[in-house]
Amino acid sequence: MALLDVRNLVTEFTTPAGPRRAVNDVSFAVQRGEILGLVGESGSGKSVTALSVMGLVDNQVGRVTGGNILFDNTDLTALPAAALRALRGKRLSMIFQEPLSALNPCYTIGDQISEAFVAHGDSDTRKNHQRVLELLRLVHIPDPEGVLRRYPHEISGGMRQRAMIAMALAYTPDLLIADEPTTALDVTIQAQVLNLIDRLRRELGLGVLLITHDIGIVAQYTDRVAVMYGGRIVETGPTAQVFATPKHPYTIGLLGSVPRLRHRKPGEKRTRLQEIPGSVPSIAQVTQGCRFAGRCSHSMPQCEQQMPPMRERGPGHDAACYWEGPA
Amino acid sequence: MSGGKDDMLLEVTDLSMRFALRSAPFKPKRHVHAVNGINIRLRQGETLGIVGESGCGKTTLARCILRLLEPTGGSIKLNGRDITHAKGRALREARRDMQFVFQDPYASLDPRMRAFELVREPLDALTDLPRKQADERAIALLEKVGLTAAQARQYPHQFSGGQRQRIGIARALALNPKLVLADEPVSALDVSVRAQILNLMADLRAEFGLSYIVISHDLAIIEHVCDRVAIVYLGRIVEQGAVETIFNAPKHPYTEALLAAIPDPDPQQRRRAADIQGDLPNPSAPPPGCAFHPRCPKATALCKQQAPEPRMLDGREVSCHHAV
Repeated sequence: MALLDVRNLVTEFTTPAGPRRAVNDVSFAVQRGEILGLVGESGSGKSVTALSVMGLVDNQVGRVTGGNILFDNTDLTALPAAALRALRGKRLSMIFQEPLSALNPCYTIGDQISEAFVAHGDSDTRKNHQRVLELLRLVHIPDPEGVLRRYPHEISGGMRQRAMIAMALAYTPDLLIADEPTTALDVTIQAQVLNLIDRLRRELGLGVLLITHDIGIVAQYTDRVAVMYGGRIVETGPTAQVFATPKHPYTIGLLGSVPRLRHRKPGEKRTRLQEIPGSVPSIAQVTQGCRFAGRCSHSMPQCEQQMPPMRERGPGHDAACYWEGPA
Repeated sequence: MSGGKDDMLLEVTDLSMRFALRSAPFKPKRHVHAVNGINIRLRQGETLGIVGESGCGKTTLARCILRLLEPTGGSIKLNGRDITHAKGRALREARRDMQFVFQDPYASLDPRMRAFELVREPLDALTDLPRKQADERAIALLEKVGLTAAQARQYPHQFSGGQRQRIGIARALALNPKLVLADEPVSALDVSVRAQILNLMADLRAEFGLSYIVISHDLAIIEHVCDRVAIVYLGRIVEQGAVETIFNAPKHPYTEALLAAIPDPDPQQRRRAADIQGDLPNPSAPPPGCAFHPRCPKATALCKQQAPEPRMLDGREVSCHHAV
């Protein structure tokens, strides 16, 4: 039984032109102890997918209008707000992209982390203090006693991100959603944070949904990958297999457009990068067919008319495309 | 590359930029050495990558070279002319030969100007080309970077990020510069669009014989567009030389750590980055000796006391006591 099983999720936003689907019929599962990578570009719907799972879509502008989110066999979409609140931060938690805007500047790191305990009814201040110290040690923050008393602006970006991870781990969640956890960080710090998430997954058996646009991070840290484009998952499968034999033209283009380090022999001429023509369509454009058709070099008449369904292309490897793939 | 002194485009010697910091009105001033004793030589047609983490001084270095800042020490020579303290007419002359491509194409274009007006602006400012010819040149440049004459009449908000960056590039090329500095030219763009811009930059370089200085934290991009690379840590160049030489066999522990920290986009090559510990030190209170020693696995007592001088080793310049 999967820890998280998302089935046919639809999230709609209200726009002046009517409701638009930011997440359109998305299904995926995360097992315990597994890292699933959700890759896509800005506007592909990957963050909205995460917010939908967490029940954090702002209901002034959008809401989940279809599908089921089964977390440990409980359907989160059918759960009353209070019950969801009891899960969130306890069994289900999230790391946000920018630690500086996700942390409250007016409270110390210690106060903000212990807020997680207070929110779930544990208000023994002295005990919480000890638990926060343990958490800070768990995420390898040097001088935890000192950091506890500091405000977010007084510590470095890498440190803030680690403090936020500590907050997400307050109750050792079953599922951790990390939305671009290292985009705001330098590469050497990025490696520290990702290695930390990987270690926690192994030691505590967390299921992790890792959202990123960085192909390198997907290749190095995920077990399986789901590629999103225009609100849909277009390809999914074991990471090694999807990278070795991508089936969807978008995945092929994405993998080919990334320059690779030390791929060139000394003296060898540099090759041109593979381009994907055009740019990412906005969700305001409505299409019947495949959203990638306009940029795709393999598109056929039927691509414009009907969204290609997911088809199995290998063990556990599915792609939503009519094209049979490279020969 | 042909030798000779005459094709030397840019010579930066012992460049320093110090900013004064004052935490309270009557406290003594402290200084931040954002750029500290940097030497760079760039020949006509060559491209140099500047790599480093945030706060290492790479953007300050670019701003000094372009003379958007006046350096506090050292010298900058462009085409053999000293522009370190150039002012007025001399500075405007120099700026014709070097232009900037900015990081964020959403913030760097005036939303009230049409694309061709944006490209024409440098022509109006620095040449006396008649308006009609300036318009024609602007439109021709926009076509060169892959936009249409019809699009030339549109405003920035009507373009996507990649198209906006194309306008930014056309604008930088308007004056036929010899040197283009690009500060993180693709980091604000979608992954699938980055390749378009990098390929465009390579095409333009070949066509116009441009020299680039590309600032980036992405080593793969640097390797793809640059001949030479300078690795900057806390205001100093720690290693400098040909891209292939350095990336295939780094000698400075910081370069090694940077290369190891990049996640390889190939799941068959899984390796856990040997993460170096700690964060970048505070630039206003740099550690004594070699600035990298608190994070360096090879640091010894010598590193804590004495800053290493750059020396030649295996075809590159490296500043480390223990590089072999």
